[in-house]
Amino acid sequence: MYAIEITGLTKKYGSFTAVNNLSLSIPKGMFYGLLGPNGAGKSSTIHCITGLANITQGTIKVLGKDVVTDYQEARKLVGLSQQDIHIDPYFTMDQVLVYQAGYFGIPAGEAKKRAEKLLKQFGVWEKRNEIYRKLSGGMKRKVEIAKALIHKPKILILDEPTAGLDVQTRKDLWEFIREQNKQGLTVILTTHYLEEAEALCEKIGIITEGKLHIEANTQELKKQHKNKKLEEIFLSLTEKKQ
Amino acid sequence: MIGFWTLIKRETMRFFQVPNNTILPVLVSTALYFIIFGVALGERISTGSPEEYLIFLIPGLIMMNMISGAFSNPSGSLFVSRLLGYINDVLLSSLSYKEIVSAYIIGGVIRGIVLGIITWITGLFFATVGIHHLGWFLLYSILTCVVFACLGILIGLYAERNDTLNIPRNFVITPLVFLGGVFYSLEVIPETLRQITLYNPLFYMINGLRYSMTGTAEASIWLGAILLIALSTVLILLCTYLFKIGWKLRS
Ligand SMILES: Nc1ncnc2c1ncn2[C@@H]1O[C@H](COP(=O)(O)OP(=O)(O)O)[C@@H](O)[C@H]1O
Ligand SMILES: [Mg+2]
Repeated sequence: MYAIEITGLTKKYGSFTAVNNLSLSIPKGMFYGLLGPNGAGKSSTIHCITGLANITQGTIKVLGKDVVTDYQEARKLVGLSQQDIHIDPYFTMDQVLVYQAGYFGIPAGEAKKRAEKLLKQFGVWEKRNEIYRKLSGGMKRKVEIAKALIHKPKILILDEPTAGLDVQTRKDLWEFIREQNKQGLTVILTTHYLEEAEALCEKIGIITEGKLHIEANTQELKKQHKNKKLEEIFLSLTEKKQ
Repeated sequence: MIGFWTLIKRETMRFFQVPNNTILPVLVSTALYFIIFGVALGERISTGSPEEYLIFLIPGLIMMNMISGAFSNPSGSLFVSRLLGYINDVLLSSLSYKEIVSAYIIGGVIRGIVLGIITWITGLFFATVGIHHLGWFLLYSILTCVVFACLGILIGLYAERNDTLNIPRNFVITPLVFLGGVFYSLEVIPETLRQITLYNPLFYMINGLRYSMTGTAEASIWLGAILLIALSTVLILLCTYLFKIGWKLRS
């Protein structure tokens, strides 16, 4: 069974096709990089997996659970840190996490414990009583990721999580995510920092114009391209297409 | 169940947290209505005594504020959370569509009932009205709130701008409530207006609640009850369907 199994996914917005008959399988426990230029359809694919977008055609299974017919079970298995963060402006960071846990059926006592652990883990515990607006960009991102983890998902999807984060914050974040991955969490990452993808992802899939352009083991891909940097490989691959 | 209660809590909390914006205005406007229509004008717009008119007025005002509360809770909450995008928190969770819709409806009903009770208590300073028939009272108050909470959900989903949110309220609900016999009985209005009033669904809701509190009715209680049951059933099904297909919620 795959962590994520996408079969023939098409996503249209009106008549515009953002994802075009995409099939993709991500094994359990993998650190997977979903790469591609802006507008390639990465976020659209992720939104189809997580229920933020309606699927036009095709099926998606999360650990065997269909995200449409068995959506409640599927949602429990996935945590998403969205590319654009949306947080209730009146809630304190503590409340954001406790409510989110509550929606997943986690009792308040347990939710508070988990929120405390995550906020401390991400170094934003002092900000627990602050509202969203009072947080720096990096802190907002940390809370967004904590929110994605509060219900202990088996799969974590990070949609451009490091855009705008400083070097130290990124380093801390990756250390933490890597540790979680070692403990069995499947991680799917989209990013524009290709060094990041190169360093972290076992396998990468490159999407262009809504199609899976290439999928390969990161190290093998590098070997095939004479150990060039992933960035160069990426550019040569995505250019060829155009 | 915890997930469901969490969303209900969220939907009602805001209302209780900012009483200056949500409860106080109702208190003031209700007191004003009692003073102006009840005490000052009462004798001129009613055939009975001022006391009788106040008793007539109270259930109407209760209904008016219940409707307003039940409508504004889900419409405001859904609109803002869609606008700011944090509705995604709910969409990403393991809550079922039925739970989500029910929680928004219950949030609206709670706000409607609380405002109704506040209106009632305010009314007690002017005249004493009790409950004549508990069954009808519960049916009329709760189902009216359900109907308007569902309408609030529909508008909260539909609206793309703040002004769209207020159009149905200003141009449909308020006129229908005012013309639905909150302030006057059918006896004192001209024949044409009386005929028109009989086509106003709000008239039957107000009439029903008034009967359940005072024991006097101007139209069939059963007709109003059937209307409410039919409307709430259709609207609940419609709202659930719209959440299922993700209308205006999912891209
Ligand atoms: N809600 C939407 N409505 C219409 N078009 C959209 C919507 N979301 C994304 N698109 C379009 O779909 C394409 C893919 O977008 P997206 O999936 O966000 O790409 P990526 O995440 O790879 O940058 C883009 O052309 C984008 O403009
Ligand atoms: Mg994107």
